[in-house]
Amino acid sequence: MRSSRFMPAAVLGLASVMLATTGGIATAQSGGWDAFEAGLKDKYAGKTLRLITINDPFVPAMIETNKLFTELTGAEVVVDGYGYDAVYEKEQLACQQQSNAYDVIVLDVPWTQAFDGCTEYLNARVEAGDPEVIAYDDYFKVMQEAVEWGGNIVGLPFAPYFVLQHYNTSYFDTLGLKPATNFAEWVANAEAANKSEALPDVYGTITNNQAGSAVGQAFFEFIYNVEGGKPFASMYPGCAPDCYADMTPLFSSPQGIATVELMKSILPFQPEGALNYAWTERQNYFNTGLIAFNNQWNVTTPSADDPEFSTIVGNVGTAPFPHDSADLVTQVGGWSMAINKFAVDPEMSWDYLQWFTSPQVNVEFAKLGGFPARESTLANEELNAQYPWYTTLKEVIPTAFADCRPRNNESFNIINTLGTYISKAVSGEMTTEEAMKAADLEIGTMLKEAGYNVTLP
Amino acid sequence: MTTRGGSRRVKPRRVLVWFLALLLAIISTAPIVWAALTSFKSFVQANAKPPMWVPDFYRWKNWIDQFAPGGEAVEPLINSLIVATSTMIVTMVVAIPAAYALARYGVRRKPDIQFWIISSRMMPLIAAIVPLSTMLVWLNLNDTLQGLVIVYVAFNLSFAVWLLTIFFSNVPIEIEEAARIDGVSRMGVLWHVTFPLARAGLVVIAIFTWIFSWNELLAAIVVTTGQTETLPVYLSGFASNNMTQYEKLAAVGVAQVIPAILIVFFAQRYIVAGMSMGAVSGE
Amino acid sequence: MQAANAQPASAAPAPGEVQQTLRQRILDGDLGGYVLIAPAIILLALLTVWPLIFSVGISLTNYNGLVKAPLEFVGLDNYVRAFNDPFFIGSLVTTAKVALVALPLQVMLAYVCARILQEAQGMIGSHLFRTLFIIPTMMSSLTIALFFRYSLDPVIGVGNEVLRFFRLPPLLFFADGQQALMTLIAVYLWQWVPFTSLLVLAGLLGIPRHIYEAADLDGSRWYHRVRYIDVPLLRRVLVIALILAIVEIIRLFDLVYGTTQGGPGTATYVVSIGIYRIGFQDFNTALAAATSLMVLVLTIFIAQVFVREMREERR
Repeated sequence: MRSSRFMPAAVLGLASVMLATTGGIATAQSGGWDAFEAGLKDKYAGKTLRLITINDPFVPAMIETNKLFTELTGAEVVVDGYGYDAVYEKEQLACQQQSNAYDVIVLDVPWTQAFDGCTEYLNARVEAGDPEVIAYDDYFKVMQEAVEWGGNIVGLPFAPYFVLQHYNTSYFDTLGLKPATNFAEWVANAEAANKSEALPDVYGTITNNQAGSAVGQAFFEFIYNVEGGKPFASMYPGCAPDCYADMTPLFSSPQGIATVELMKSILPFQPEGALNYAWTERQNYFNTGLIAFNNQWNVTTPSADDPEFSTIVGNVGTAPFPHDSADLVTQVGGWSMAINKFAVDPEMSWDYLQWFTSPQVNVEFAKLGGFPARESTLANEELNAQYPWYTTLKEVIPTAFADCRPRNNESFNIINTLGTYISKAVSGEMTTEEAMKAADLEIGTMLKEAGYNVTLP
Repeated sequence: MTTRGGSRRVKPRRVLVWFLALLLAIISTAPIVWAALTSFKSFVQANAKPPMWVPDFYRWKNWIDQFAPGGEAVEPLINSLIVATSTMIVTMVVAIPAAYALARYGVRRKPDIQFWIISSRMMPLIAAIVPLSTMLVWLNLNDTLQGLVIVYVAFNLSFAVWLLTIFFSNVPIEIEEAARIDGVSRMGVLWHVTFPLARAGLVVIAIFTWIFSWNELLAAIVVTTGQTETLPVYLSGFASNNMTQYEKLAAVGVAQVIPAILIVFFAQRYIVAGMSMGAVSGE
Repeated sequence: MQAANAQPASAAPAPGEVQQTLRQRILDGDLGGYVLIAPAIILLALLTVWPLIFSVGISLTNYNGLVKAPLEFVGLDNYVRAFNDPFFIGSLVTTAKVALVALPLQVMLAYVCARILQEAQGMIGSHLFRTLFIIPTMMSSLTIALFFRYSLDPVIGVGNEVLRFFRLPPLLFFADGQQALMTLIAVYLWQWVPFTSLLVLAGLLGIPRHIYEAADLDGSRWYHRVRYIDVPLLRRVLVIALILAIVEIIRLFDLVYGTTQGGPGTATYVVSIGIYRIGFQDFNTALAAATSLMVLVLTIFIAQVFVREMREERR
C-alpha cells in the first residue's frame, strides 16, 4: 500500500516550498558527502527498491524524501505500508520463507532479536563507510543500543519515538494547572481537568487501557518511574550488557503492584469508554480537545498542530513524562531500517539505508514531516523553529532506556500476556495481586522454558 | 378493519408486516448509512462530540482521494475484483462436476468423502495459512493474484461441493432418465439437463464464493504485497496503531459493500430459489 | 423424496456385448464419476490435506519461527502445553458462552425475520427490503468491527446518541467487562442473522400452503403452527444453519480483533485470538498447530452431532 493515506497537507505544502527554495539537499561542508552523492548518481537507473513499512504518520514524508533518492540514483522506490501487527507478521513470514520480496524492512525497537538473522549485519559496512555519511555516533545513544543484538548491528535508526506528556495549554491555563512532574501531580491534574466547572465537557486524560499489547506497553512506560521499579530482576537502566541475565518477573513486586494501582487510579478521570481505549483514542481525542492531556509517542505530536487533524492548533504543549523515581526513565520506541538478508541487491539496499539515515537526509526527512534520529538533526535550528516540541525531546532523550521493553524473541509474548493480566486487574475481573502473581508465574514459566535464568516462586 | 371503496380492504396485519420488513431493512443498513455519512466528514468532524449528523455533502475529498484515477484504493479494488471473479469461476468449474459425481454416481465411500469435505472447511484459517503460504512460496506463486485465488478456492471448494451435491440430488431423476432414454450420455445429462435445472443453486454458490473472496482478509494479508493487495487488506491498513482515520475507512468500506449490494439486488430471486432447492428436501 | 436419491439406470453391457471403449465408459459408465470428481479431489488434497498433514506434523515438533533452534520431535508436548495454558481453557469457555447465547438467538431471530419477509412477499418494495436486509452478511468482518468500535464509542459514538434519542440510558458497549461480550454477540447477530434468515426463508417457501390451510381449518393458533408445522418441516434447514453458525462462531476472529482485542480482561478472549497470538505474534508455529487441531477436532465433533440429527430425520 503506497500510503499517502496520512496526508498532513499543511506539512506537505510547506515541504514543497522548502524543497523548491533550497533546491535539494544542503551540502554545506562535506567533501565526503559530495563524493558519496556523486558516486550514487544514476547508479541504479531502471531498478526498483521495495520497502515495507508501518503505516505511521511519517510515511508521506518518507515518500517525499524518497523522490530525492529517485532523482539521484534513478531507482524507483516503492513503499508498502501496513498496520503494526500486519507488518510484523509479513516481515517475519518473509524471513522464515527466505523471501526476496522486499529489499529494505523496518524494525520496531522491541523486535531486535526477533529479526536477528533476518537482516544483514551492518558492522562491517558501518566501519567501512564514509564517516560523514554514517556518522554512527551521531545517532541517539539509546538508538545505537536499541539496534544492536549480541554485538551485531541489525539496522539503522531513522524514526525513533519517545513517550512525552502532551497537554492542552489553553485548558491548563484556564484551570491553573502545570504539567505533572510526579505521579501524584499527574493524577491530581487528571482529576482537576475532568469535567471541571470551568470546562464541563472536557475529560482529564486517556491512557492505553485496552487489553493486550496496549495496556502491556503502558506498563513499561510507568514501571521504571516508580521508585525502585523494574519488570525483571536484571532489567533496569544501566543494566547493559547483562539486561537479560536474570529474567525473574517482578510484576507482583510492590512496585509492580503500585504501577497497576496507579493505572487504575487514573481511570475515573477518563472518558467513559476508557477500558477499551488505546493509541488511537489517546491521540484523536486530545486533538479534538476532548481531553486535557495525554502521554503518547511523539509520532502524533505534529498532528496536533495540523489544522486538518486538530482543533487545538497552537495550544499544544509537551513535557517529560512524570516520575516518582529519582531519575526519569523515558520509554523509547520507533523505527529502524534494515537490509533484508535475502534481498536481491544488498548493495542497493545499503546505499539506500545509509543515504536515508545520513545526517543530511535525516534533516530533510524531518523537515518534510519525519522525525529526528540524530543529535545533529535535533540541534538543527530550522527544525527547532518548525517543531517547538524538540525542546522536550532534548530533555527526555538522554533519559531513554533501550531495553525498557524487552527486545528479545519473547517480547510480544511477554507484553501480550502481561497486558491481558493487567487488563483483568484494571477492569476488576481479578485483584491486582492475583493478576500480577499469575502474570509472574505464567511469564516466568515461559521464559524459563525458553532457556532464561528465572527463579520461580 | 378499514374499508376502501369497492371490495378492497387493507388489512392492518399486512400494513404491520410491511413496516416490520421496512424495520429489518433499516436495522441492517443503519450502520452503513452512518458510514456513508461519515465518509463525507473531515477528521475533525468525524471525531466530534456530539456526533455530526449531517455532513457537508459537497465534501467528496475522501472519495476522490481514494477512488479517482491514481487514487490509492483503485488498485486494491481492481485486484479484489479479479480475485473474487476468478475464485468464483474456478470453484464452480471444479465443484460442479465433483458434486454431480457425488450425487449421481456410485462413488465409493461417498458419505466419508462428503464429511471429509465439510470438515476441511472447519480448519482454523490461522493454522492453515502458514503451510499454504509456504507451499505458494515453493511454487513461486507468492505475492501473486493467482496464488491468492488458489488459497480461496481451497477454502470454498469443500463447501461448494457439499451444497451443490445437495442441489443436484434434488433434480428429479425422472427427467434425467428421460434424457438418457433419448440417447444423451451420462455425462451429457449433466451439461444439458441437470445444470440448467439446478441453476438457482449454482447461482447461490457462485455468489457466496464471490463474496467470501471479496471480503477475506487474513490470507490476503499473508499472501499479497503492495501491488497485489486486495481491498480488505487496504482497509485493514487504516487501523494503524497510532491514529485511525475513520472517515477514510468509511469511504472505502462503503465502496467495498456496493458491488455486493448490486449483485445481491439483481440475483435475489436466484438466491432464495436456490436456497430453497437445497434446504428443504436435501440429503 | 426417494426418487431424488436413486441412481440412474446402469448402462452396463449385457452379457455377450463387446466391451465398451474407454470413451464410452467415461461418458456412459461409472468411470465418468471418477473423472468428474478427480479435479476436486486433487485440488482439495493439495490445498486442505497438505495443511492438515503439515499441521499435524509440525505440532509434534518444537518448531518456533523466532527461535531458530534445531528441529526436534517432542511428541504430544504441545498438546499438553496447550491444555495447561489458562488462557486457552478460558477462551474455550468464552467461545462456548458466545455459542450458547448467540446460536439460539440467531435461529429464533432468523425465523422471525424469515416469516416477516415471507409474509411481505409481493408487497411494494419487498424486493428492495430483502436486498438491504442481507447487506450485513456481505461486508468484511474487520471493517464491520472497526466501524462498530467507532460508532459504539461511549463518548463520541453515534450509538449512545441513538439511545439518548429514545430516552434510554447510555451504555458502555465494548468498554465494560459485562457488556463487551453482549455487544460482540449483538454485532455478530447483526452480521449473520440476515444470512440465516435467507436459509430459513428458503425453507419456509418450500412448505406447501395447503398444510397451513389445513391447520387453520383445525383452528390452530400461531404457536401451534410454529411448533407443529414449521419446526419439523424446517428441521433440515435449521440443522444446516446451525452447522454453518457454529463453524462461524468458533472461527470468530476479526470481530474481536477489531473491537476489543479480547478484552476488557478476557471478557471477549475467544479461541481464535489465542491461536492468533501464539501463531502470529509469538510465532510458536508448533503450538499454534496443536491448538488449532484440537479446535478442529472439537468443531468436527460438534458438527457430527448435528449431522447425525439431520440424517436421523430421513427415515
